[in-house]
Amino acid sequence: MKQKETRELYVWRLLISFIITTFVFIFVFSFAYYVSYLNYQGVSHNNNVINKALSDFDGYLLKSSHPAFCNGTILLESSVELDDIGSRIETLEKNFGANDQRVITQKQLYEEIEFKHYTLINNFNNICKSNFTTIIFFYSNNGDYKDASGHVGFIIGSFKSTNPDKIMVYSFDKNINFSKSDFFIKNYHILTVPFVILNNKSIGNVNNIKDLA
Amino acid sequence: MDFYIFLVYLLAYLGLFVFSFYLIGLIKYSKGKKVEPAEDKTVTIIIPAYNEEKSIERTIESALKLDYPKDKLEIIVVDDGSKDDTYKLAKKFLSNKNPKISVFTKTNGGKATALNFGIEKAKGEIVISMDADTFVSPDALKIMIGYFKDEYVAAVTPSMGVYNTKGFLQRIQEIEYYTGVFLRKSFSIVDAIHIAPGAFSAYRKEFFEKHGGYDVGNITEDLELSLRIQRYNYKIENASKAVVYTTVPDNFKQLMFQRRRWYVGLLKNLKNYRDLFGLKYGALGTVVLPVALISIFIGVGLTIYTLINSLIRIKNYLIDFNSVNFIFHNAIDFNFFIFQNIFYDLFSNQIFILTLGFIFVLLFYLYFSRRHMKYQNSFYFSFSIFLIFYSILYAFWWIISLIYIIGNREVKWRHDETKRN
Repeated sequence: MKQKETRELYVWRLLISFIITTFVFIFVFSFAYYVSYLNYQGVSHNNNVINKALSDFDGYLLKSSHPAFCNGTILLESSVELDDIGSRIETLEKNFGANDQRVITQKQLYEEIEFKHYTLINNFNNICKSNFTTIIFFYSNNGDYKDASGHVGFIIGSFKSTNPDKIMVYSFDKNINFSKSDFFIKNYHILTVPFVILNNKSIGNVNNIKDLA
Repeated sequence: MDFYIFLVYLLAYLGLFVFSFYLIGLIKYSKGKKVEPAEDKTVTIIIPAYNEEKSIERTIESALKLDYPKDKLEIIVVDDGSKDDTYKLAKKFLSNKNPKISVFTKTNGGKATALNFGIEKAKGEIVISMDADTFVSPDALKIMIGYFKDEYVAAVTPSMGVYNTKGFLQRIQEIEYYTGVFLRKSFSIVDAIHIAPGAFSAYRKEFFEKHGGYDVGNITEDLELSLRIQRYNYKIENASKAVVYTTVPDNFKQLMFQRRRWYVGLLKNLKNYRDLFGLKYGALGTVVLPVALISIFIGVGLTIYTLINSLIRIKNYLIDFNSVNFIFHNAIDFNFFIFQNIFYDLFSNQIFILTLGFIFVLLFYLYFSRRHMKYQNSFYFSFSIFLIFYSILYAFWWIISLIYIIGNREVKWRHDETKRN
């Protein structure tokens, strides 16, 4: 039985392993970014969808003075379109993150559309003597406000699901400036988030679904 | 990038790095000269046994069925003060038909004392420690003896598998043992085996004569012996075609005790043999041991972080559902576009791609073992439950072991032991 005097350090093998591993990592990151790029290219036609929706909603608002407004067709069309865009925005946020500039740009346009739909619903309530419930929800994705906003968002979502056809929820990110942000902040004295406005009355923070009933 | 993600990438990088290192070694090794089986050495198989009445007969029969010249093989059974019928059942093999079997009994002193007792009585040039719940393929011994042609070799290990798997926990251990088949071969190629399994490993008796027997009182005496062999600069080889099956714990408590002993033993022995880290001991000191330690701590840390995160999420879900009086209308919100985008969602995530890579590496390890080992149950089901549960179990075992180490709490060889020598 003999004892070895020296042991091999396998320097070349270690070097080749390091090169292979580094290349694999570069490939994985490049592939992931490429798929992300393809994904964004695939959904970037959202821009066209949202721009079209903006002009559609201008049309809907113009038609709110027509006699046929109260038959609900315009309301239904606008609600379906709003939901469709909402789903696209949610997908973008999930894929690229809420703080991605591309997502923020799309959300600004979406919030304009939300406000137009909110105006349409208020018109419908006034002109057609209906009783849609409107909830304006201001939230934030930043820091400590994120969890609290998520909690209130969950409560509002549950509340809406109790009567989805009659409860309209409009969510606005307080960190995004859209044209009517100042209108809400001043008129409803919004100092912090999360903040809820129910049927044009300030509620503030919500801790339980009973606060909305 | 937050710290958690950085640790995930670091673990993935280390895993891929060592896999590449081992794979290159394996490819080079496969092109080299094969080791032929041999029967030129005299062999003593020592079977230490404590309360093994359920398996001792099968183990002795398995040793008797070894395809090896009978005049060069002796078997010594050492009953370590069993409280059951182990000694009585072993004595049944004493007869003129099996002249080379000896059975001894002694007062209980632990596995190391039983092995040392057997080594003193052994006449063979090669000594094999064989657990009393282990079953060996008939050709295993010849294959392992072939490796002792190399004069630098002090020990030879086989491929270890799990005997008669039943149930969830044994299936997980089966996959774990089979990934070990590839790793042990890879370690041997770079001369870095640091654990020769006590269930069945072969040693030159000369080593014990020169450097002492098993360390009495050590809870992982097989690990200590392997580290000692490495410290004295001998080789430990792996005969991957020599197949051995051992029984594994079938309940959580037994498995927990076994793993706690293994992991506490590993850390204590590595502390005593910390001089093995470094350039002097080649790949053992620069790659295998450092990467093993780093991976353990990062892996356990990540699992703890994930579990804590999951508990916080569950707490938040409970708060949310409490706020809506547990009305579950909104619990599942289906977004068609997210579903449509699932391919983009998954493949734009580096961690998902690296996870797929990890699964591929594991499958490669298992493909390697499949060439030699038998799978007792449905492979895909066992592999699936291994993927889901192993990291949680592994982290749990390590956390318990670290608590024992930090708290300086005693770990015994068996949980029912009250006194040890």
